[in-house]
Amino acid sequence: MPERGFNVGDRILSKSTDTHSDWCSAFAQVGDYCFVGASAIGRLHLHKAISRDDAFAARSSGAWLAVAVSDGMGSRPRSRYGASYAVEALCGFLLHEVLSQEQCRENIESVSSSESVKQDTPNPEQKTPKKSDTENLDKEISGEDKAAIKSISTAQVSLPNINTVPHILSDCAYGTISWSRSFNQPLTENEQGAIVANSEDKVDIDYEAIMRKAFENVHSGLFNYAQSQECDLKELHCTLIGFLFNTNTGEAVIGHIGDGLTLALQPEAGSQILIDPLIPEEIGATYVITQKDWKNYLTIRKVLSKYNVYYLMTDGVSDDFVYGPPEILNQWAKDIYREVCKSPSLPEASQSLLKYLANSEIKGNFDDRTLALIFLRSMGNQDDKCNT
Amino acid sequence: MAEANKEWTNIAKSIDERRLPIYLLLDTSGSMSGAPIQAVQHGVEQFKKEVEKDTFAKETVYVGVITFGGENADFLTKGLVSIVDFQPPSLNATGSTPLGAAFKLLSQSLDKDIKENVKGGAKGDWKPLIFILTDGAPTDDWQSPREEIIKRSKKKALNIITVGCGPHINEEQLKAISTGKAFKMDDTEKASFVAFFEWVSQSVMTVSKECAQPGGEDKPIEMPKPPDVIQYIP
Repeated sequence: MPERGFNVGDRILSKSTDTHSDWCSAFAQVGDYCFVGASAIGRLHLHKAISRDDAFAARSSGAWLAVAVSDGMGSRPRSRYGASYAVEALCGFLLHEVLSQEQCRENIESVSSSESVKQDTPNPEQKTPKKSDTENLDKEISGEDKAAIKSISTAQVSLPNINTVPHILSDCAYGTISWSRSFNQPLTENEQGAIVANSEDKVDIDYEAIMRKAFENVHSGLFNYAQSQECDLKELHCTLIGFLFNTNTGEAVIGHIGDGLTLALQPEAGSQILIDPLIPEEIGATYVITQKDWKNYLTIRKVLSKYNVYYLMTDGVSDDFVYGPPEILNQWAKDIYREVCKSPSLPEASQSLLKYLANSEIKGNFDDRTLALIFLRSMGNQDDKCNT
Repeated sequence: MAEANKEWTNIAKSIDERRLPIYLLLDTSGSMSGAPIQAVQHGVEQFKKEVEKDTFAKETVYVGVITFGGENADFLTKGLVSIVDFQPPSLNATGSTPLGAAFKLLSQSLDKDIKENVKGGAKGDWKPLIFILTDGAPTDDWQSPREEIIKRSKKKALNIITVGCGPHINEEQLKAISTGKAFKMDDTEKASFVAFFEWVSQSVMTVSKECAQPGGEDKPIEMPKPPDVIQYIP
């Protein structure tokens, strides 16, 4: 059975319909970590009545979380197609690669283990149902299920209360809000034993190679996607930041091409820029994953420490503070974390984040704004400090 | 704009802004006295009113006003002032036409007041727009200080647009002073100055909107076509 997981944020656009929304927010929980992301159309695009060009996505499988943000180049009318493809595809490729590597590791360890492989044998107590029994199984409901059905039909489904809808959204044409119950089940004894055994006899996974391969797959995918869209690859020009994180062990790796910023925060120690992407000399220019020699400008870095908060953002957000004094950057990171933690629920945190991005009037900044946070927290904490 | 998010107002941000500097170099020589200088005064007031109404321009436009008349030039705004805070100065016309002195003040301001781009770092101010309005020929050495400004190889390139008004202008000089196009108005009537400042306002708003786009400042920006009363000098 595949692991449970989620897939939130912007989605790949189809050829027939441009479904890229002007505002998007998303939230999720993986183990002890929460994800909150939002992307808001910039004032320039609103004024010109054209689409948002930023995109973000997050996807999980088991303890693994993949997050990506992308900024489509404003000069390319279809760059949002590139950005939305890039984020969803990168998240998918990252999880596929890391899970494949983990499976290989487990296979290697199980082959090298001294225990013999037990074959599954049928439980002699288990009867093969007769044909007549099989027909009856569809019609017969157990007493346990009957009780469950009764309790479901009388129970109220409690949904998070979302009041903080931005003023702009009251005139929206469409939107989707979806939730899922937590599926983080406690580990069984066998699973706990397996993890302990794996950590003692570890085969190292090359996370940087995983990130590199995922970016390669995204670039190839974008090429094929452009063909399916009957356009040139350069019409999909976009930056891309990818983050792969294990919420159990804290292992993380970042890949980055173009502008934007990846930041981490340890509330007591302060914030740290996690990666320094390559920037062209020409002011206002950026590298993109869709350019021919993109590999020369991809920066990958394994994150060596475990942090309480990680931030991925496009330059529409980072330009607010990144070139000011370092204390501004530190304070910004703490302020955002504080405000997110104050929200009583994750849906409300994501809405508040979207509201901040949509309504924040920074002089001279008219760009789309996208910000994703991955953080340790306890919800509803009204204190300035978030608990870990 | 939508109401502010009351929950998240205390988020730190850098105070650095990216500005579009606009310089108005205005001839206040004796020949402009009377109705012409009053029309220019009125035009500057209209310029402020129009530009500060524009969503993009009001956040990015900073104005510097330098007059040249009498024996010297005067930097009335003492530097660049945001269009919102800009108070149109009172203009008086007298004496000669010391454009060279105005260029020296402009050069000092370009060195002191304009924020340069930092490679891999903060984006500086956008390329300044400089409008020069004059009704006659300069009476001092303007070539040397102009050369100083043009030779700013490490600094931003500039847009110097000259507009001559009235019968005493020297068209060849106007073209030599500008870095791009030069224009003329046949008279110094109020309507001509009104048209001039309306065109300056439209040009500033167009440029500020183009600059607001990512990468916008590096593309050639098409200024709005001037009204018929303002003619291009070929």
